[in-house]
Amino acid sequence: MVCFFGGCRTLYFRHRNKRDIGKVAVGGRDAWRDEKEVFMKRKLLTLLMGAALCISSLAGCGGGTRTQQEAAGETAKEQPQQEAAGETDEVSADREVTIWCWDTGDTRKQMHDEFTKATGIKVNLVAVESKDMTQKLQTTLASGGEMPDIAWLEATFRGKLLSLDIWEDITANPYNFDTSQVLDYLIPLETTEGGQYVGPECPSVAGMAYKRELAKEYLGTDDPQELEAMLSDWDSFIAKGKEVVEKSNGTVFMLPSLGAAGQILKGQSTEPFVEGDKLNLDVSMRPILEKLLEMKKAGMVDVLDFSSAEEGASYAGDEHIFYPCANWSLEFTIKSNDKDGQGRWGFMLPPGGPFPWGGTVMGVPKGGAHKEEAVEYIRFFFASKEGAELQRDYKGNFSPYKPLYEDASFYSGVDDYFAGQDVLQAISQEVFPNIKGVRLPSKYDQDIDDVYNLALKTINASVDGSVSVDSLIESMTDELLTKQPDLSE
Amino acid sequence: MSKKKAPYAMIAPYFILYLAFGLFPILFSLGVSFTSWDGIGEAAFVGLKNYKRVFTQDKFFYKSMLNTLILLAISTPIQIALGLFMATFLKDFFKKTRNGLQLINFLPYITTPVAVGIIFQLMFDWKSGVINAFLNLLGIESVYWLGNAWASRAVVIFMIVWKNYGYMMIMFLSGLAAISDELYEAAKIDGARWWDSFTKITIPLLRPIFIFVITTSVINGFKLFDEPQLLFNSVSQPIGGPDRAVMTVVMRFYEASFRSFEFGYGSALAYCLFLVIAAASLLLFKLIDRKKGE
Amino acid sequence: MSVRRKPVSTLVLRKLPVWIFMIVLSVCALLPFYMMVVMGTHYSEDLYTGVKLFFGKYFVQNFQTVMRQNFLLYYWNSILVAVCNTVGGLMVSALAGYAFAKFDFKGKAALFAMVVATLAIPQQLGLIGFVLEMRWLKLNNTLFPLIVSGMANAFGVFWMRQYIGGSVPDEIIESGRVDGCKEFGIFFRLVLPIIRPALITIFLLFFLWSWNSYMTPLVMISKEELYTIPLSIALISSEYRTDYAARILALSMGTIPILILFSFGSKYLIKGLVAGSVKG
Repeated sequence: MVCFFGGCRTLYFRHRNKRDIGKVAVGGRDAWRDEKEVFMKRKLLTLLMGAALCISSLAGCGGGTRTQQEAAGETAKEQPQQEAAGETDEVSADREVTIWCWDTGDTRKQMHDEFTKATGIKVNLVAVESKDMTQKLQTTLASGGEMPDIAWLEATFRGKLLSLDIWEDITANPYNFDTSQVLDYLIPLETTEGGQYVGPECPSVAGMAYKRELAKEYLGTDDPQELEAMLSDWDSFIAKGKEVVEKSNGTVFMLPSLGAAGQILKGQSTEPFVEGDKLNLDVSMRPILEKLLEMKKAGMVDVLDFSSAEEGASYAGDEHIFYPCANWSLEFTIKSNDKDGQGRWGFMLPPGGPFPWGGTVMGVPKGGAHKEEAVEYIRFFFASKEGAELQRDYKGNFSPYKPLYEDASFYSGVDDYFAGQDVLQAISQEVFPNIKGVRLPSKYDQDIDDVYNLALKTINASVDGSVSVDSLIESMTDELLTKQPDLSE
Repeated sequence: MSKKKAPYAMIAPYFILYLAFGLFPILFSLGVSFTSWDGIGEAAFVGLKNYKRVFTQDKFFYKSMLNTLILLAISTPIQIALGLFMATFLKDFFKKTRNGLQLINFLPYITTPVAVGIIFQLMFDWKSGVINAFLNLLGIESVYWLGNAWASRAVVIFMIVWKNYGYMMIMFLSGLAAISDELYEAAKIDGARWWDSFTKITIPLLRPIFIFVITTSVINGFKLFDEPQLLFNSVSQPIGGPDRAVMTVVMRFYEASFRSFEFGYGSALAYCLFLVIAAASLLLFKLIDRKKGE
Repeated sequence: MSVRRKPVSTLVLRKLPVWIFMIVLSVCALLPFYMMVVMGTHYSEDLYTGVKLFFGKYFVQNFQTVMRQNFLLYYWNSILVAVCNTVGGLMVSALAGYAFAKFDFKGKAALFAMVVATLAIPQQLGLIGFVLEMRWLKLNNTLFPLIVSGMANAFGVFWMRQYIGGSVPDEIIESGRVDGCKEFGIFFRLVLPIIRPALITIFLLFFLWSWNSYMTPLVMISKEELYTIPLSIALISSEYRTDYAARILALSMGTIPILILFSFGSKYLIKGLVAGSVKG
């Protein structure tokens, strides 16, 4: 035991040494690497020796455990003070933000280099996949660990995370972030139940993409305006869908998956699924499911699973005409799934109008060490023209900064995938102004999402939609009440 | 060191390490299971409320326990049998090629889970998977593998068996290595056939390995998490598959703790699972002991 | 036809089911692994257009994507953690397993029951407590927690007990005592050589588990220079998207040490005991 804790003490001191090395050799990264390798090798040796000693000299291990442990604890306690003292001295020299995010690619790093040039703030990225973000945040919070200065919060998990009292209100003193310059529809999406404004995001909105060839063959035109007029509401969409099924003998579908249709329908309605702690499924979910069943019965929606491998592959095929299409879908989904699709695509507003889809909020946790810098980062990238240009040019992101949309040419570019259509301009000038409203995030979002996915599975597996909406709503209610006992019907 | 003290010295490293880094976290969670805690605010003591909720209110607990039992009961015997036959066949019939074959059959155990998830999703796809294409060839209609309760259970069982039989094989191989060749030679001289040696020598002498393998696979079966997770991990898939047919207890625990931030309740769920496993292992040991008595 | 008259064909006939069994299972085992390797050579989105049976043309690009990260450092971290964890865990398990198998001592049954009981606890349960403890000890953001977590492995102790109980004859231990060996001497000199197949098995499994461990590093490590391979996978992405092909390539590259270890260890698993050391 004695030797064991001896071992970890050495390790701890090594750890401290390493920090020093890091500070000394700021300029020479390679020199630092070499030092580190030596350090690593030494550490390995120390550890192995520690383990070996520990095992072989167990006979001598009686008392002394506690004192050693305490000693290790005490030396450890001294450290933060030293560190804190060091930091106050260095504040001006050492300005940095640490961001937990799932995009640590080169383009983001280049974009951040520009930011560092402009402001002198260094950006550290820690890669955390979006599915792991909640868990990593939670464990860190629960154990009182080091929080990031900015954490990315993805749409599905956002509701739950926003309901926790862990975020800085960046409109308050001393940050005073000005939300009047943020696109109005976004603000409620970024505000906690307690009314704190957490942070902005790149607006994510969607219309509908279509395959021009199929549209021409089965709907008679590939012109976006004509299609929008033809398919202005869901009833006409379903009526046309039936024609397509008939014309193609059931080989061509309007949409690839129920989930794709559902994504549009869910995005277009703003009725909350839960009001306070009361379920509101009859008002909010029922109309969506009814429409989906109608489409399923008409045979106009294929049976693929939404955002599955198969659906990805279907972009390059020619069995499905329409896809919901957000601004990020252009690069992320369409171009990467349909590599040779130049000129094959068109963009239009869907029946029932455009809708919000996705979005990643930049949250500033209360526990972060560099909150001022974090807000400066946010202000730069989300509330300035300079940052918006960088976001646009490096990442193809839209900005929530309102004034930009007055200039129709700010987001503009002919897209050869879309046969020369200016999709960016269409999104900035037609989609954004037509977003009617948003469904407010709720801490039950993931649970709702989950039972909704389950219901889609049930509809999908049923033969020609022979399920009743009543039974679906009933089982959804039942599941939600079991999962969240504080909810009521 | 005397014979009396020696065993304590020998188990000491395990228990010291365990007390230091294993027991504390577990006791911590036990404490948490009596509270309502989201990991952020103060934990509020709620007594046995979480446990009461598990047993009286949470239909998912029973459902996931049933699912786990179904998956466990079917997959465990198959994977043990396959592993055992693989090991003995390798030893008896494939002396020249066994090194290569051993490696090949252990590959599923080391194949990267992400890849496994993608491969199985593609293979069992309703519309374009190779499995359905094969069925169509035989004149059988396509099955919505990932959309029906029993079909998705079958896929998960297939995944579990596929992944683990190679691991079982390794266990049995090292057990076989401890059986002296002389025994088999003596049996051969007495005119025993392969099957006789297998049932009269191999199986009885592998008894300690059997006990180990059965106990750990039952325990691990109760803790099943990875395979169903991998199969239904894309964003639009419900947790636990269609009809929640492959939702396991650990999945439910994971969801409550790390998705819903109900760490107190999640811990209570895990401790209830622990109780069930403990009861099952006790029963198992009793069974084994009774057999030994016979 | 009579079986007795044609001994050669009987042999073939009897072996036929064995061969079929072996071929079917081996193909099932090999195919997905092979596909994993193949997947690493394709363009990411193409993975989803159907099962890929042949190598693609995207290996170089994927390899570059992987190597853009500091992959060798992560490799080194993974090796460091896995080796320390495995060597430590192996000794701890073997010693404790030996004590449980071959000694009678007060409290043995209760202590062993405790070991088995730990097996029954879902691993993820202790996560938050462990992180908290490491923070108190100021050891978070070091590799120490990764090395030490799972070193006291109940599975290993249980396995060693079963194995030693079934394969180490008491006579050997007694003869060691008669010769005046100390108890630890008997363990290191007489017992360890006998249980080599079990040690190799456990070494392989511990190494594999440590190598693939994801949850503990995920919550413990927030510094890129301490990343292990499974953690670093999240770093691999291209322009706008998650590059699954490159990730799978990285993970395939990560299985190389396991393959090497297994190839070396493999032959000891079946060799049988060194003549003379044990009488059956």
